[in-house]
Amino acid sequence: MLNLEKIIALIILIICIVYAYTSFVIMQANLLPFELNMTVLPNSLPKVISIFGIVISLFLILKKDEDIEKDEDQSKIDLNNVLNFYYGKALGIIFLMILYTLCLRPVGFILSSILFLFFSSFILGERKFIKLIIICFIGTTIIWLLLEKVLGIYMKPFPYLIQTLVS
Amino acid sequence: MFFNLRRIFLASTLFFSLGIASNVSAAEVDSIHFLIPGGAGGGWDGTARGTGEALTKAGLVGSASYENMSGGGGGKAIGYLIENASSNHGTLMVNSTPIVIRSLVGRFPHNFRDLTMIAGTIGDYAAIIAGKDSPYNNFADLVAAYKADPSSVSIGGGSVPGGMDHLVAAMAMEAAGADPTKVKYIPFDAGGKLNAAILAGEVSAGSTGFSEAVALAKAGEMKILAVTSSKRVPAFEDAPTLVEQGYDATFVNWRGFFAAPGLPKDKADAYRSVIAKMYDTSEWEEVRARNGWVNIHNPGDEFVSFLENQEDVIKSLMTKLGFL
Amino acid sequence: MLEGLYLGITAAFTFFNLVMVVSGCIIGTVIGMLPGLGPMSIIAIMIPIAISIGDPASALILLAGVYYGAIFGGSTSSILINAPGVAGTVATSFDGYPLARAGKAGKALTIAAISSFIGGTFGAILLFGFAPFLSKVALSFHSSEYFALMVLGLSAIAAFAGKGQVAKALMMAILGIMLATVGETALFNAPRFTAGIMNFQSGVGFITLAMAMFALPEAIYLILDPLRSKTKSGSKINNLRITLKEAKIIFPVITRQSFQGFFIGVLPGAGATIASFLSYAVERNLASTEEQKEFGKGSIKGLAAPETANNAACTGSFVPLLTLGIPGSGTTAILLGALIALNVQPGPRLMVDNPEIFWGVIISMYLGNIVLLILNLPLIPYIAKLLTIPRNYLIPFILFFTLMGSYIGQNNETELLLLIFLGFSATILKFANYPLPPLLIGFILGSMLENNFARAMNIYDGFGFIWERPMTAILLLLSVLLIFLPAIRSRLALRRQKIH
Repeated sequence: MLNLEKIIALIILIICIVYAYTSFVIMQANLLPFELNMTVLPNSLPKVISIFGIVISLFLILKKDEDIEKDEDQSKIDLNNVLNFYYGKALGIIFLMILYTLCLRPVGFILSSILFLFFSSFILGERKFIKLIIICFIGTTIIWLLLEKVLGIYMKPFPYLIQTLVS
Repeated sequence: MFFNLRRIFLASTLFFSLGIASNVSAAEVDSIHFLIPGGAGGGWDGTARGTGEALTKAGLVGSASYENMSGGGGGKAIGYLIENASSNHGTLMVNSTPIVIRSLVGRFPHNFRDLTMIAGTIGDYAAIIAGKDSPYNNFADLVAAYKADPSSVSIGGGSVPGGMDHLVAAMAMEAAGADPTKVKYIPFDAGGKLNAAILAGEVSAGSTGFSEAVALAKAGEMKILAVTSSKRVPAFEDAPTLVEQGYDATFVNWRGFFAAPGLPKDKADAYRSVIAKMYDTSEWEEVRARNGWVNIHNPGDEFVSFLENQEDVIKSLMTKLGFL
Repeated sequence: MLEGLYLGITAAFTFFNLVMVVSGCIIGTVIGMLPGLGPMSIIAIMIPIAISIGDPASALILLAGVYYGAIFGGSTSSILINAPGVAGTVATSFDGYPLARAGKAGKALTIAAISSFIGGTFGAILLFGFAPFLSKVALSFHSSEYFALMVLGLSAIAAFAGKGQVAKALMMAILGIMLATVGETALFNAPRFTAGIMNFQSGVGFITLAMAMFALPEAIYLILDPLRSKTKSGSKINNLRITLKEAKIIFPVITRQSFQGFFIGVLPGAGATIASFLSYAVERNLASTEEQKEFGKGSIKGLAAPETANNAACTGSFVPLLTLGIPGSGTTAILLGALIALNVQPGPRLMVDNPEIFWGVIISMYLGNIVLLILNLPLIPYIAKLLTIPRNYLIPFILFFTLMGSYIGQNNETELLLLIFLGFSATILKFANYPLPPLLIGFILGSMLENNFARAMNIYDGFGFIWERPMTAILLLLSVLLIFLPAIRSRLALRRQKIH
């Protein structure tokens, strides 16, 4: 896992270099005549932090590995079990979230939410389908009614086809 | 997080539309779907929901629904309305002065001409303000100090440099025969913070919305040096206009409604007609008074020429200031 | 003043007003639990109802109940699912969520409720006694002082810079500041770092980043590691008890932060967010070396400090609102709109012209605090039990609420895709032990820091404000001192050991 740390530092270094190039070169060239009179320019802070960013990421790449303190930190990932993690399930659910996002408008809030809740629960291993469907349906409907009818916050509820049929 | 006070002010409006008009048959327009190019709780949101509330309660429109679509400072909703024009004949989008400024500086590829202009409905004037202990008692004092040494006069505002508040300050200075490019403009991220800075004496003067300044001026905390209307505003008669002080500059921050491009003329006229009738209803008066809005009605072609004129003024000013 | 107290009590204590405050608290708590609906949107939603009541005192009592309820509801989602819905509760999840994971959700919620209550109560008392005087304090802060305050707030990052982690914590803070520079700011005309993508013009939303850094990686981790879902010592989860020892530990924290939080809240340019980060930074630096190690891993001090401070600050923000008519935050700006719609003009004349409203508001805030505590303490065991819902149902709903947090009221799918991408990246960062809270601290404070710094520089045409404004200099010195205090202390302890 220590390699991962360095790879991330390298990616951050690349981001910082792109950021630095943008603030030192591109933004400098695009400054408006008005802005040249100002003491702090739009690229002043970006310049400073990009240099800090490059220095620190270089340090992270080059520094020697240290022993990390063993502690009962709840926010850290327990790496002892890392080989047994359900990577497939996690990726599946991330994919499902993207799909859900793309469906929200064309399919509408209610149907896509029910399907999202159903399939993510399915991926996690739930097999009591009838109970699951009922819970997904009730949960989605309550949230939608709360938002739409009580709070007046609009979300397109139905697919285009049904929407036009209703109206 | 940083809501402009002006927007918030307009936002305190009815969200509930439970008591939708009972006599749907009498409505001239069956339904309007309002498209709001920003999040719930902002100024556009308040305008759309307030207008919809008045229209439905007065029985002019059968029902109203509201869709928020934020992104790209309003550009996303404009793009959406243009791309899906044919399926959005029942949609009205709310917008305001920034659509002119933002399309001039190229923040989004479209401009107001790409949409069907329905009507400008309400607005707010701009005001130049100073704290109660400030040495400036009228706009001439401020101009004199500015002409003596532009860098000694800092003018705060609630918009970005090159935004509305900055342009108003520059426009007023230009009308006074001073160099508008030398205005030392200090941007604040919300109207409330600008007001605090003025009371604290951090900036010499401020450029802000008139309705925002009225409350503090009435309380005697602030002086309104000038307002950008052509005649004094009834809400606060004590505030002198720029024009009467001898500076030929006026400015209105309007809010109005747009529809999809290619909207059939009869539909557009129906929308214009219900909006025109709305002004005479007590329901509208209630919404308007609650939000402190000023009626500035510009239907159809008048709206087009108003916008074109405003675009010209802003364009020449922004060119002079170096933003274009 | 006693007359004011009498006026306030007679205005607030009617049966109708008690019904108002109870319903306000319930509505606020329930809706506030949904990430994405913070106090500001909930109050905006409630305003029409409040206005239809007609009587300004009752309307404000309802809104005050909603306000406090929403803040408490927001803390709940921070503690239970690591989803801070508003910036003011980000610091709450630093220690609240680890406590909940350790099976102490009930205790964490109780500490949050009690700290909030005491913070709010102290705030109301201070407001009651010193509001007119404090309005002068509110105006003594200029951009340069705010800049110094933000520097002070950034020292909270130190809490996540443990052994071998200093560079990583700084790296994350810098990434956060970089993200904050994307899009438009109040300062400059053109949006920055948008790569020509129109959606980036508005920048990255706070909720989106908070969900992506905290809630989503945690949910993904729950999916990855089935062992993590097994809540440790499940029987204790709805145990509310705080031991006497714990009470003794958090008591000084709560007292200090009630005052500090309130004063930060009084400043129109600061507010609850800054107050919570500052309280976290200050309490961590004041704590003993042993206790410091606990911060960020489930310290009860680290939970009590921001919870006290953000509530006290919310009360404090009423000072500029009521005495000057100046709103310091989005929420108070909406309240100002409501007051004006009710024909009440806040400002220096309010105390003279409408004393019953001025004092009624203060008493009603106090009442809101009490009612909230009484209502919520019995509910906490049930709220905490939400965590015992089987993971097959719990995780999908956590994901659903996380996504909805940045979609509700925005309808912007691009923002959701960004949320998923950032959440995925954050999970990988978590694997490599990069601490995520500094990123969010950098993001929130970075833009405020830049805004105030640039304003001060432009007004003074350079660094002049540091020596021309003594308060700025003092605050900057104080922040340097706070950052180095732990190091100085351990150095001194080492020397003492050598002597012995």
